[in-house]
Amino acid sequence: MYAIEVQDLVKIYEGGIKALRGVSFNVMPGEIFGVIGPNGAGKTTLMRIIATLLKPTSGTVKVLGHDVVHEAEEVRKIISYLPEEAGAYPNLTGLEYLTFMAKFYTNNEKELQEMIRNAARICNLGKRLYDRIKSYSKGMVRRLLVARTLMMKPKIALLDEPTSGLDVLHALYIRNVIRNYAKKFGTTVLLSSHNMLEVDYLCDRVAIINKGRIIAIGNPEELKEKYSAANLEEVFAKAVRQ
Amino acid sequence: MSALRNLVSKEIKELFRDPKILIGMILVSIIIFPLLSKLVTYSVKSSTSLGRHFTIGLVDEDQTPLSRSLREYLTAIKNVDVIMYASTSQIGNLTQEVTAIIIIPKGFQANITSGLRAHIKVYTTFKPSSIFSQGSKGTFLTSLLKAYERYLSVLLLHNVAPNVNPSTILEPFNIKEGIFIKGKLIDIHPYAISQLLINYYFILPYSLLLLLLVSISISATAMAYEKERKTLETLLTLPISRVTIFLGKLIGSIIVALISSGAYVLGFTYYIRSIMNAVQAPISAGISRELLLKLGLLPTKLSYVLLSIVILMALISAISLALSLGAFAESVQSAQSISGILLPFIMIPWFLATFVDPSSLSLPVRLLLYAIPFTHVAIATRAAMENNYLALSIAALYLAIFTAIILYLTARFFSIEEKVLSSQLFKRWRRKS
Repeated sequence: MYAIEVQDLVKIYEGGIKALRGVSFNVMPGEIFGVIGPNGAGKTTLMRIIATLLKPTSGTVKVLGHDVVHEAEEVRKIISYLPEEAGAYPNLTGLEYLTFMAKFYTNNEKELQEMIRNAARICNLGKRLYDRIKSYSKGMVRRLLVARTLMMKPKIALLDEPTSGLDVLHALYIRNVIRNYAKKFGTTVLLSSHNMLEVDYLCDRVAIINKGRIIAIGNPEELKEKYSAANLEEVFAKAVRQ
Repeated sequence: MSALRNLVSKEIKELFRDPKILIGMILVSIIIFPLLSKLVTYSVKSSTSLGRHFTIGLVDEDQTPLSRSLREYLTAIKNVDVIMYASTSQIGNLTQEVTAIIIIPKGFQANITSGLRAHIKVYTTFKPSSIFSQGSKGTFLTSLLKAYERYLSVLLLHNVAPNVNPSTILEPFNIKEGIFIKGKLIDIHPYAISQLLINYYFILPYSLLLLLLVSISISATAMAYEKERKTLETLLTLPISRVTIFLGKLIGSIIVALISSGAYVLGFTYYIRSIMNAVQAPISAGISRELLLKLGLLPTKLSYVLLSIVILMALISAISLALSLGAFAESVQSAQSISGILLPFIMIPWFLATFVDPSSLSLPVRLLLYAIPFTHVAIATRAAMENNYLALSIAALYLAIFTAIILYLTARFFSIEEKVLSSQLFKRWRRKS
């Protein structure tokens, strides 16, 4: 069974804007799959449909065999979604925020504490976890949110631009966390980014999306070879031109 | 249940840590009102207090034994200093500050002894800064002079008819006031009753109106806060149902609204009571709650239960409506403006039902008024005072039906993620308008 199965996905917004024009791909369990493309290519719409936030105009999406439209509540138990422009509650402390989120996944106090310890390790905020989130920098909030997404060791993590707003060192740190997590816990990661370097570093396979269509799919090395390109940026540029 | 408890606890924590609610609604109410009442009480007490020092400038133009007796009377009063002036022309050169000037005109004694009415002129010193104590200063002096007038009347009557008790001529009868209620004559002063009932007839309806307004203001912004802080998307992908998210917001808003308006009502009631006590000591001390209950002037337990159902239903439906309307807004500011749509439907019928007798209105206006659910909160408040169980039950039933419909529609609305996530419906409505 595929971890994520997307078939002929079309999304047309009110007003006639076509965000997705027949997207199909599969993600294997434990795989880190990257969706890359420019702004407005349809990455976030794709993520939101898989995360059960939007309903597709046509086509199907299945997450571990569950349909995102008809079995949305089941899908939400499997996935953990990090939106691109996510925020946290400014009047809660980092620790309170993590506890609030963890309580939706377990009623067991031991498991709850384990999740929080896990999140504390991922975000690496130390004593700042006891401060209100409104005193955090943008980068600190993003680290907290990444920790929130991964703390319950989800079967499937949907990460929309996971390192947006982070400086080079913190971005590198988070990339390592994502990679190690996927390997250690067998988490399937669907990651969207317009940072080609990040995708090249993290992903087992990549789909290049442009104007609502997948124009190339494969593992980064195969794609570079296929398009005779030195890096994914060149692959992207050549694929768009074709 | 644990997911709902988790959501409610987060809502309460977030709302109470919001300075607008914590400082603006709770702290201000429980600090400002008592402070204000202390200030007003102090100002009222200091201006009416007999312990305060008065300096009176006295111009005795009459210079007779009677005018001298008035001077001696004033001088004998504790805390009153009298400064004598020979004529009104000297007043312009006053060096000492006086509270008032009393002028006894020429002919004061001659008028009284010849059976005519004499005059005394009292001029209170006016200063814009002491505008609030102006009236009480004049009242104090007038009461001093009234006491002298009575003393003089007794003296004159004694001279004319030494064998008659002057009091029976001055006050031949006493008035004892009472109330006539439900066919019974009760020896309670009407003022005492109204002083006691002010809590029920004024503070209770006012508090309920306030509670509804505060809940709407809090809940309308609840979803907009999630959107503005970019937390809604994450919340909607958690393994909890939309209805649980909605209930979390609903219960959180009700609890915070109850505490906020409770603080306001406490502060406000304290303020009103302090002022009333400062102005006049309560004369209702001897009247028991049991007597008022026996007279049917207070709501019975059943009335309270029915009224509580009405209030709860009104709160749930108002908050559900505000949550749904607020969900169309992209920002907190626009959520507040959108929720403004609800205010006329609460305020106008409320004031009409509270201050106008609905039976005096024309049939179409009355039907329209009764059709608005929030009218029934005001009607129920009045019905509770009169222990009119039928009216209370009708109000409770009507609001229960309305609330059930609103809850059903809101739950359906919240199950459509795209409507909650974006504000497409609102944008479309805005384009049309």
